[in-house]
Amino acid sequence: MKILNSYKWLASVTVVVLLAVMLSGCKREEFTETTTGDVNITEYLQQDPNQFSTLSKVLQITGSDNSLGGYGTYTLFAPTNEAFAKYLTESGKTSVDQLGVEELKDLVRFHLIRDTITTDKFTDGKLRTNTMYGQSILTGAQNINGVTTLTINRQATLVKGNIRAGNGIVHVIDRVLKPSRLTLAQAIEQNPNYSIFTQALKETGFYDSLNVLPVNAPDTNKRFQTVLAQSNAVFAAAGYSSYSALKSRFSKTGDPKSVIDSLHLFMAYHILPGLKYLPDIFNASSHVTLAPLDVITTKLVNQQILVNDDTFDGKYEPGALINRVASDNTTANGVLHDMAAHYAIKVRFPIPVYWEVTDQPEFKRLTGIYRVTNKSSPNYVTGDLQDIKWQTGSVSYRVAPEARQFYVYNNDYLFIAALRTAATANSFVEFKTPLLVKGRYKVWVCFIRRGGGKGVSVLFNGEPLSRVLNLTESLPAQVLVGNRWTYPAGTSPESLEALGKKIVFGGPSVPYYNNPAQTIEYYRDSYGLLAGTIDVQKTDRHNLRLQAVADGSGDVQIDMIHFIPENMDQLYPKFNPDGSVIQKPQ
Amino acid sequence: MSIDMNIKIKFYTVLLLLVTLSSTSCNKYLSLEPQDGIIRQNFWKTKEQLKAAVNGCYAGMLADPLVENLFLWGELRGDMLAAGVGVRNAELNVINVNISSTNTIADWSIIYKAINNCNTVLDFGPEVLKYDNTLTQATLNGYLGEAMALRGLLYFYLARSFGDVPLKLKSTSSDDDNLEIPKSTQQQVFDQIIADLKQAEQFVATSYGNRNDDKGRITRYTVNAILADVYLWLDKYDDCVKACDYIINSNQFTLVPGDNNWYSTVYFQGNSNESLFELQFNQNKLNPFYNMFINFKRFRAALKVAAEVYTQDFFDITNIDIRGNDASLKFNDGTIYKYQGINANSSRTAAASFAHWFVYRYPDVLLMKAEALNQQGNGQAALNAIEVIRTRANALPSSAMVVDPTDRNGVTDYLLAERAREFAFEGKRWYDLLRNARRNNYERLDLILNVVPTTAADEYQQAAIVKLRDKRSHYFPIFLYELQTNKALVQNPFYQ
Repeated sequence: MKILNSYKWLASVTVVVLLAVMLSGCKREEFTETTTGDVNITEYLQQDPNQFSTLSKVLQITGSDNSLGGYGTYTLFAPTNEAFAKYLTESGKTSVDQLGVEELKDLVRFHLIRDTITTDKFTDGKLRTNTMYGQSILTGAQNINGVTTLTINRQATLVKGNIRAGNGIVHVIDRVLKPSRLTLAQAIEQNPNYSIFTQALKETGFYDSLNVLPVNAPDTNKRFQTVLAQSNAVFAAAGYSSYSALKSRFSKTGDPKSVIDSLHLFMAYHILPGLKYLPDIFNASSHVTLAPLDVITTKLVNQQILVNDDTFDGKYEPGALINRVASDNTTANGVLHDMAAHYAIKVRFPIPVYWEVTDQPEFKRLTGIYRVTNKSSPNYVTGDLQDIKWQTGSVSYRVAPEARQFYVYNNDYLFIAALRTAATANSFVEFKTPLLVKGRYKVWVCFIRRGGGKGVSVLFNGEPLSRVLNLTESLPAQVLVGNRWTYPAGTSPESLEALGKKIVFGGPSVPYYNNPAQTIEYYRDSYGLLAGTIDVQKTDRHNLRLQAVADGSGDVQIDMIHFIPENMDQLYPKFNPDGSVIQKPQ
Repeated sequence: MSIDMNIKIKFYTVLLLLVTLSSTSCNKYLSLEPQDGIIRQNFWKTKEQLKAAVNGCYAGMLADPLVENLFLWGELRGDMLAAGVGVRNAELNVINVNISSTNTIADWSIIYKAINNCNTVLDFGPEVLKYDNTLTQATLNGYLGEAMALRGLLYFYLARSFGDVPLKLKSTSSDDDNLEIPKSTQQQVFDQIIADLKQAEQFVATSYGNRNDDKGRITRYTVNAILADVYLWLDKYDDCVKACDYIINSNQFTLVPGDNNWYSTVYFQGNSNESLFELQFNQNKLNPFYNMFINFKRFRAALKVAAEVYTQDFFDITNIDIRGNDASLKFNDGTIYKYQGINANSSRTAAASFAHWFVYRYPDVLLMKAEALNQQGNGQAALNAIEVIRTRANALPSSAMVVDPTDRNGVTDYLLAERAREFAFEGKRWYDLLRNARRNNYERLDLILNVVPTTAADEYQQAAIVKLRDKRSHYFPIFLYELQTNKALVQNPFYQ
């Protein structure tokens, strides 16, 4: 029995083994035992000594090979062996061993970015992340004999891009990149075409402040600056053939170093704080300068970058062109741009701005809708309009129908679906104003009385104005006198102004919509409310915000916003539905 | 004991069964034929099967994302399209002329899939003759001609989009087929296209007896329209005019009158009198446009389309170019409307988004001929043709151009502007621009360079213009996946 049992046992074992062999015998499968076959940057370079032996050696000398062999997210611009050969010839050496370790460390840092940037993120300007050296790298493209290559920092061209290693991206380049070591002041001085500008920098004292390397900067927030330099030719074209001509025109106090001297201000107006490459310049509409209260405005028009190209007080003032090709020069402490034309601070006195709120670029392009009776735009969501922001919900552009007039300027208005404090509803609308010259202004919000906006606080650059507006109240009803609808008894334009209210339209011939034989000069449901007085500190476009402080359903319809210098007449001119403007009768 | 025994017997039986079954799993004496499908050796026997296979070629043209690709390739690099809120990164990169081989827009696999359908018909169709006596040689030729013409059309898109491409002319039907084919030059591809189309012209019918087939299948007129387009690309103006004249003189096509029903006849119902060939989306196979334009809002019309392309009559807003507002697009929000509308006021639902894809319409034939004539020095004839198109569409005086007939470049500009109005969003814009730009050794490169300032993001414009000066950048890169799987392929030079 025991023997039998052991036979049986043996038999079943044999069968099981056979089974196992048969099942597994069909095919040998190979399994990958690592999660990825990608090598890291260091190994990638080592695997290709024909191209990268020098770079590998440099990494070894500087001790960077360990970090580039480990975990991380890097972008490395990898110069080839030929690139290093050229670099060594230029510096009169025969081997990288002869270069100092510190120099090599700087070199590696300038080729390394702690970010993964593929070539499709290369723009016309700097890369989004600075190198570990601190300076940023510029990208661009050049076309030689019909063949386009990508340029890196205007020093090298891209040989092969987007090589993915386990810990980042390698871009192969044909030259070693060299960080700029000159300061802004030195770079300007070095160029003889800037001799007038250089002398002006020295006389006004800016030369010294532009000659400070970032590491020595006393204030870490002011390490980098941007200069818009004017060449001698540009000065000559503007009528200043020498520094003395420039000085005699601008320097009123005789001491250019004085901060109130106009030459000092002129130079300050050409220096922007911070690192601003051309895309940074044209992507923002205005930039502060070192001139305390004056900004420059910038815009991109047909690929041309213009400074101070503005429409002001109804007049177009052509701007000064930036010489795009000669600009974007990186220096150790900032960026140097070249102006193709002269510009200076404009002396301006406060002028009233009667702002038609619907004067927005997006609305003007609405062919067939913009100022066409009884049309309206689609509903916009916040982000659709460049100069109007709001919290949530919709905003649209509307033109009043013929049969229902509100007596608003050009018959059109901005429709805001809600302006209330309820948690899920829209609670604010923020406008970018037109250019306001520094000075004190009264602000009038002109609107159509609707159900929404029971309590609206107006904030100018975040500062609340004195009055909270109620946009839901009607004025006393208009009365018919002869053929004219006019102010009711006990109400006059002056008495309304004393209450901070005014009628925005007027003049002798605004037809009453229900009966064109009659005219109207006062309407209870469309008027302006005084929000308060603002002090505009610098000439610029500013933020104006309507913030709900009370709840109540209904929409809000804004016609205009007036900024009128406080010592000027607040009631005239009048703005009519047909687009006419009526000046104060003499 | 006996129960114990019983269990043991059962155990061994089961074990034995397992051993038998498992030991056979490696052997190959079981049938290899699938139980839920039909294999090639059993197919290709009757003419009905042949017809089904040819229908399969047309069905393959509707497969996603083929038409989406045709739209993107034809419009993304043109100047009529603007990115919407749902635009994809790959699409933005193409708009900004920032294309790399990982960009999915350059994935051509669906086109080759459709080409393979045609190749299969061409390889195995002739066999049917052996098995089915009711199939005549003429009928067979007709089917083969349809497949050849479709293949020619698809290679025409590929050659214009990629330049050099692999020329695969045999079907992929067994594991032994060599799939690693190197690129042929653009010229070789064009030679093959012309050979295919000329053969197809001999083979295919002029009519199938009903309207839907005449507009949905390849006819001799369609073949000539494709040929005209190819000849125009190759600057063979005489041949182009001849092909166009064949269509014009047949008197089978007219412009649909530009009245209130025009939009609904041409675009909503489709297969109109002015249509030569349309891909027939239907209730069972919807087009991709509802998702692209309405659902995900990937694109809208560029701002200039309303203001500069169609323009507007400011004194009488009811006087409109019928192709503009409420036809190609909605002026108020820039929605692309060509594939969405039923008429001016009501639009299709998601479930009814089966507007056709318009490959060739009669106005295209007239304007292709005009372009050829202009190149031959007959600018006046070209201007006359433009006038015919404009009159039908009630084009506004503000979009008219005053051009001297001897001013060849001026007439070209006018032709392109009119084509933009007539074929807005029909996937033709980029090819129109490129065809005219590259003529006479890139004499009109400006046509392409002028696109970028209106489309690319500000910070990409300078690099974009420099890149476009390199004519190699006008063709897409080979998609990375293709490079990895086909070792015989070499990346296009601009992207190496």
